[in-house]
Amino acid sequence: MDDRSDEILVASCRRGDKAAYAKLVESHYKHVFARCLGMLGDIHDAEDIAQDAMIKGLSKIGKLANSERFGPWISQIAKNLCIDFLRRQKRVKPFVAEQPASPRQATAENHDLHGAIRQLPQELRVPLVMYYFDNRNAKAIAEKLSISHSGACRRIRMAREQLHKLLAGTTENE
Amino acid sequence: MSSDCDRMREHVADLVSGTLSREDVQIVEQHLRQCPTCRSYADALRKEDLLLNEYFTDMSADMTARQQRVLSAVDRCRVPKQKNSAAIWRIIMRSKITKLATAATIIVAVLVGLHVVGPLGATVTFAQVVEPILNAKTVICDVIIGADDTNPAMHEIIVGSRIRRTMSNLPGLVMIIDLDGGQMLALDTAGKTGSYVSIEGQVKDRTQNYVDFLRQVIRQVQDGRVEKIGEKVIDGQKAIGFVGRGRNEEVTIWADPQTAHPLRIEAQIGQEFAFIMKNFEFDTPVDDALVSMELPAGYTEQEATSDLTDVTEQDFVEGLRVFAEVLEDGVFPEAIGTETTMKRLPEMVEKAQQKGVSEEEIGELGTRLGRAMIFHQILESQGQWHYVGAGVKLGDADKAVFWYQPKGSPTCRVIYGDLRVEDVAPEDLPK
Repeated sequence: MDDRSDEILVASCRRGDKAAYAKLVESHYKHVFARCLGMLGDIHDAEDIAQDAMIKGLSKIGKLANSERFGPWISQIAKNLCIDFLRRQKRVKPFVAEQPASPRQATAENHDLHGAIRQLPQELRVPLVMYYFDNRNAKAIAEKLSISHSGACRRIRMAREQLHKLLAGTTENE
Repeated sequence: MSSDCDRMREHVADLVSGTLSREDVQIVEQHLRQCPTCRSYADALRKEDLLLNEYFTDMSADMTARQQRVLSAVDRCRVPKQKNSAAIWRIIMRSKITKLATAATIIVAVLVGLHVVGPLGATVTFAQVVEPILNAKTVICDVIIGADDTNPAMHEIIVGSRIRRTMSNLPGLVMIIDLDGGQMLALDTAGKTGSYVSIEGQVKDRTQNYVDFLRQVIRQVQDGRVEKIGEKVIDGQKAIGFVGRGRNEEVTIWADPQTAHPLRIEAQIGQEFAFIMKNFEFDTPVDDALVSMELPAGYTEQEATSDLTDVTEQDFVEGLRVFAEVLEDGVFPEAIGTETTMKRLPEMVEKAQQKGVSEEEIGELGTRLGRAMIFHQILESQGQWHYVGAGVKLGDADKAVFWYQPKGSPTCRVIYGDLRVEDVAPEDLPK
């Protein structure tokens, strides 16, 4: 789905065409979910927040200034909702996904890929999840995260290195 | 592990992930062939890569169900409907060709045919109300096409035979119309380009009337009968109202009962065309540069594709074809006319785009519609037309879509569903 198609769908949606918004959901939900999963580290939380983002997008569609930019806009909504969610979580209880990666913790959860991914710091987990969700397209990730291509590649590399340490239970000095 | 290995390890993760540059791949692979430690590291990363792939593939397998849940949730929500079609106007505005050919052409075409006003009535009090309109050297006001205040507004600065026109929903477009010169200068303020469009012929003739429209109405009202319709509050201001009816027009003027300053004019011309004028300023000093036909400094000229001269019946027929083909997928619409066209224009542009029509072709469609509207507005002023095409299929040779009686003609022109046109005696017109 290109920006132009999005622009037409947004215009239809603004005139009350719910089917047009369904098409926008079909095009963008996967990316929104990946963004939420990357930020939150928990599948169920990501499902909830991604759904909230899509519904919020529908209610705020009239406020979208550049309708051809629906993708970045809905992604930003999702990001903001994730930040709110994490803030609330921190107030309620310490959130494991926000803790820095620790080799000692990893030893206890060796070979637990899910647990290891959750332990990655958010700035590495987000590009890693997007990378494996987005057909290994580092360029697209760079655009979505507003970082350079080399920056996206670097974060993916660091994520892989940290993940390896977490899974192997090793330290950098070993 | 050598220092070479330290340096290589950074690249191994890139190699496994597929983000390593092509020229570095060979260097790293060469090192891996020679270094068992790094090879072991690469093997471990590859295994993890497989795990990651499996993990996210499994997760992707559930995406359809997740998405379905979201769609169900969305389905339960109300879609906020907007009247403003700014997004589609932006589509029109994005192409320079489309912008100047479609937007400007149609806006010019929409607004030229207000002017053949029949006899109205008058009262003494009314004369006080209209005095500033008659004598002002400059008039600034907002014009809204249709009877709905939420429609886009045109801001008009009228100085003699020059008009500077901007649209509330087209912030990047300025039109300066030179009525004496029969020319319009359309400026793209974002792209710093300008195009000259000829408005000679019927457009110019009728546009000249447009500038004098208010005065013409008022003079005729002064000579005839005007009905006073009481008072109401407009934008927090008390207003006194007068209505004048002509052969083909009805004009309501609301004015301040204390100062006689006109506050709002509502007009209905013919069967379909309504407009509102408000926010009047009279004799406000206007910088000549605002209505200059010279290309402003820093602007470059672009060739315009619009042609609004020498409009004929065939242009109207082509406009009907655009309505049926583009807007309703082969069926003639419920209604036609200037307000209908203005309202449905964004929808039409969108549908044209969905059908794969290029920007340039959409510009061409816009010009066709503009020309069709000019012809229809001429008929509006004569009052002798009937649209009977709602629901008729394009190509249906048996059903009439539209008929009109040309001025002075004993017979009528009937346009059928297959868009052929025939002369028909008035007594034989379709029921």
